[in-house]
Amino acid sequence: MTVLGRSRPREWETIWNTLTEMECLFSADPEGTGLSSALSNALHLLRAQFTRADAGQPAVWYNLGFNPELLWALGGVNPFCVSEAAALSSIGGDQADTEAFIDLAEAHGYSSDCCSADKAGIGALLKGLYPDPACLVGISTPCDSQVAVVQAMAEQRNRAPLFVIDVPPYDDERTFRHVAAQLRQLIPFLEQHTGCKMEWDKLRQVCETTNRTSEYLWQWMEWRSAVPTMQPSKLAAFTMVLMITFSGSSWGMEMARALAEDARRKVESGVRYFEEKVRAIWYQDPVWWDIQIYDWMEGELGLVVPIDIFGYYASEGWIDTSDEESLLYGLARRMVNCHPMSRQFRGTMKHYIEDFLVLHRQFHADCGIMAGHIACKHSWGGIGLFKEACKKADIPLLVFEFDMFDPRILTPKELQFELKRFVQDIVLPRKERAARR
Amino acid sequence: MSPAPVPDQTPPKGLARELLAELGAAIEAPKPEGAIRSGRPVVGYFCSYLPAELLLAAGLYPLRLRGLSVEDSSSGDAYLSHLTCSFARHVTAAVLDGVYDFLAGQIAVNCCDHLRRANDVLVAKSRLAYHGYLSVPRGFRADLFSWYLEELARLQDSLEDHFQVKITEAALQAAISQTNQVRGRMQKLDELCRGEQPKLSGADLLTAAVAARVLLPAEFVEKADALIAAAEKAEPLSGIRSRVILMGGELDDPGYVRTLESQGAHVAGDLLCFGRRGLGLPVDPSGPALAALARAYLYQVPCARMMGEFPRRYQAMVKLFQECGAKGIIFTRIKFCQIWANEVHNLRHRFESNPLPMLVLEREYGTISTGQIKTRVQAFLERLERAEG
Repeated sequence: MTVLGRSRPREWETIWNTLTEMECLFSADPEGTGLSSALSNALHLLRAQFTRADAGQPAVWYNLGFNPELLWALGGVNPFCVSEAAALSSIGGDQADTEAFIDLAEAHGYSSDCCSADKAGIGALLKGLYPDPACLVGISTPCDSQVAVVQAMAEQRNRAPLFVIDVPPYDDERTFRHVAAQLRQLIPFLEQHTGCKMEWDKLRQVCETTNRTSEYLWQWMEWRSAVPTMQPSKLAAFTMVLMITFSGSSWGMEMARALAEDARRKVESGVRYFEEKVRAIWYQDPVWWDIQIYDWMEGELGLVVPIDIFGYYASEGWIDTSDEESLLYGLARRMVNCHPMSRQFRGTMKHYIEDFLVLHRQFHADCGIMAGHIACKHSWGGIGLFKEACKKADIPLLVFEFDMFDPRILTPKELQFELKRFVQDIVLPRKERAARR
Repeated sequence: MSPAPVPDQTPPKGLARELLAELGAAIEAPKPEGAIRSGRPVVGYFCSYLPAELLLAAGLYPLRLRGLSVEDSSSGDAYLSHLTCSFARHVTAAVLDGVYDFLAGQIAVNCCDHLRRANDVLVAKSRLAYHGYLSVPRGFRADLFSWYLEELARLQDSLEDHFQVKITEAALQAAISQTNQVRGRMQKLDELCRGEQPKLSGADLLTAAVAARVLLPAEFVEKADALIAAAEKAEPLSGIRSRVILMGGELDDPGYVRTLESQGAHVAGDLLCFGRRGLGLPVDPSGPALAALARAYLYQVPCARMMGEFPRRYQAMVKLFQECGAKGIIFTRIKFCQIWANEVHNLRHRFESNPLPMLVLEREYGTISTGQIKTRVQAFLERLERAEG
C-alpha cells in the first residue's frame, strides 16, 4: 500500500486510509458535514506534508503551544507539530499506534509523568515518522510538559537548532510585546536554518485567513451555545486541533467554516436524535482515545457538551494586519491568550476559573466536568481553588483522573461509570428538585 | 563473586561533628534563631533563580522555603491534589498550618507548574502580608536577560514599596560581597568533600548548603570557617566503595544523602537546587549591582526549567564527574516533577555515545524509603565495582 505513490511508514498509511474511509462515510451523511470537513482538511494537510517532504522541503518541528502562521508565511517550509501523528492516530487512525508511541518513549527513559501528547510525540519521532528537521521551535506554554518535550525533541535529533519562545505568566501588554519581540527574532532564525525567505505580504494574507477563521469560530461558538445544542458533543474540542496544526491555512479556515455552517444548519433545522437532559462544560482534556464516547454520553445519558476548554476561542484571537508590528503583536497575543490551554494554564488560576464561570453562564450549563488529564499539573494543582469556586457558584463538578490519549489510565467502562453516576445521581435529581421549587 | 565489604563510611569525629550538628539543628529549626536575633522581617522564597541579595539589601531576612517541618501535607494535598509534587504540597501545608506564621511575606517564581499553583494557594489562603513574584525566563538569549533584569527591578520596587525601605546600590553591593563569602566557604567545604581523602561526606555538604539558605551570611560564614578548620584536621572518611555525583531538582534532606552514603557511595559532588548548583559561583560585582546579580543568577548551571539548556547542564555534569573522580551518577527526582522528568531520557541519549553508569531514584519529599534505596544503591555499587574489575 502506498500513499501518494510512495511507500510510507505503516502508521501514516493507517492514518491516511482511515481518514479517507471516514471522510467517505461522513461526506455521504448530510448530518456529518462538520466532521467530514475536519477529515477532508486533515487529508489536505497530510497531502501537503507528504508532498513537501518528498520534494525535500525543510521541515520545522514545534510543540503544541505554537501556532504555525509564521511558518506558512516562509513558503516552502514543512511544519510538523510533534504531537501530530499521535493525535491523528487516536482521532483518525489506530489508537493502538498512539499507545505504542507512548510505550516506546517511556522505554527510552521519557517519563510516564509527562503528558501523553508529548510522550506519543516523542514515540513518533523515535519511529522516524517525521522528516528530519532543519530546526525546532519550542514555546514554553502551556505547561511544564512542553518544557520537557522541547529538550527531548532537540536531543532526539542530535541537537538540531532550537529557538525558544519564553512566555511569562502574566496577562498584560508587556507580556504580549515581549512574545511579539521574540517572534520577530524567530524570523531570521527560521530564514537561516530553512533557507526560506519571510514574505510579509504572505504573512498578512495568512493572518487575514486566521481572522476569517476566527470569525467562523466565534459564530460556531454562538450556534453551539443554543439550547438544546444540536451539533454533536464530539466536535466541541476541534478548535485546539485547528489552532495547533491548521492555523492560518485555508484548510483550517474551511474546517472552521464547515463547523459553523453545520452548527447553524442543525440549529435552524431543529432535528435532533436524542433528548438533551444535562449540559456540561467539559473542562480539561477531551477523550481523544475514543471520541465516539461522546455519542454514548448523548444517547445513553442525555449529556451534552456544548463547549470544552479546547473548543473555547477567546476574543483575543483577532490580529490587526495593518503593519509588521501589529501582525507580530496579534500573533503573540493570540498564541498566549487565545490558544486553548495556554490561555488558562500558564498564569494564575484566575483565568482558569473565570473562563469556566463565563462558559458555564454563556452556554447555559448545568454542571462542570473536570476531566483531569493526569499530566496537567497546573490544573490538578489548582483543583482545590477550582472546587471552591464551583461550590461558591453552586455548580456541580465532577472530577476524575484520566489520560486523553491513553485509555489504560481510566478505561472506557470506568469513564462511563463516573459520568453515569454524576449525571443520574447528582445533576438530574438536582435539576428535578429545582424544577419542583 | 565475593560479597561486598561491609561499608564503614565514618563521619568526621569531634569538633567537626559538633559543628555539623549545629548546622543540622539550624536547618531543622522551623524558625531561624538568627531571624529573632537580627530583628529583620523574614521573607520566604522558592527558587534558586531568586537573588537572596535583593532581600538582604532591603534589610530583610531571606529564607528559602522548605517543608520538612511538617510530617503531614494534608492541607497542601487538599488544594494541590495528590498528583502534584510533594515538595510543593509540603511547603503549602507548612504555610497553611502556621509553621511559617512568622514570615512577613513570600516571593514566588514561575519555576514550575506545581510551585505556580502553590503560590496561587498561598496568595488566596495564607495570612502572609506580602506576595512577590518573579517571572524568570526559560532561556539565556539577550532579550530574555533584559526581561529578567526588568523583573528584578520590578521586584525591587515592590519590596521597597511594601516594606518602606530603599534598596541602595551600596546595600546591594554589600549583600553581594556577603553572599560571595558564603559561596567562597561553600567552595572550600566542597574541596573537603572531594579528593582521595575526603573529610566531609555528601550529606555534610548538603547540610552546609541548606544552612547557607536559612542563615544570614555572617552567621553562616562564622560557622563554616569553624567547620573548615575542624574538618581539615579531621581524619579522612573511610568505608568509601565508590564516588558518585548526585543530580536532580529539589533535595534539601541530608538524611536522604546519608542513606545513599550508608552503603559506601560517597557523594563527592552534586548538581542539586539546594546543593552546589543552586548556590552558584561568586557573583562578579563589576557594574551596576542588579545587572551583576541578573548575570550570575540567570547564567548559573541551568535548572531543567530552562528550555534548550540541557547541553550546558550535561557539560557541567561531565566536568563535575571528572573533577570528583566519580564512577557513577545518581539521578533523583520527586515523583510528578515534569521539568526534571526527561533528564533521564536526555542523559540516556547522550550515554549512547558517552556511556556513564547512572542510577535513577524517584522519591517523595519528606519520606526516605530507606530499605529500597539501600538495595538499589548496593546493586549500583556492585555494578560499578564489577566495571572496575
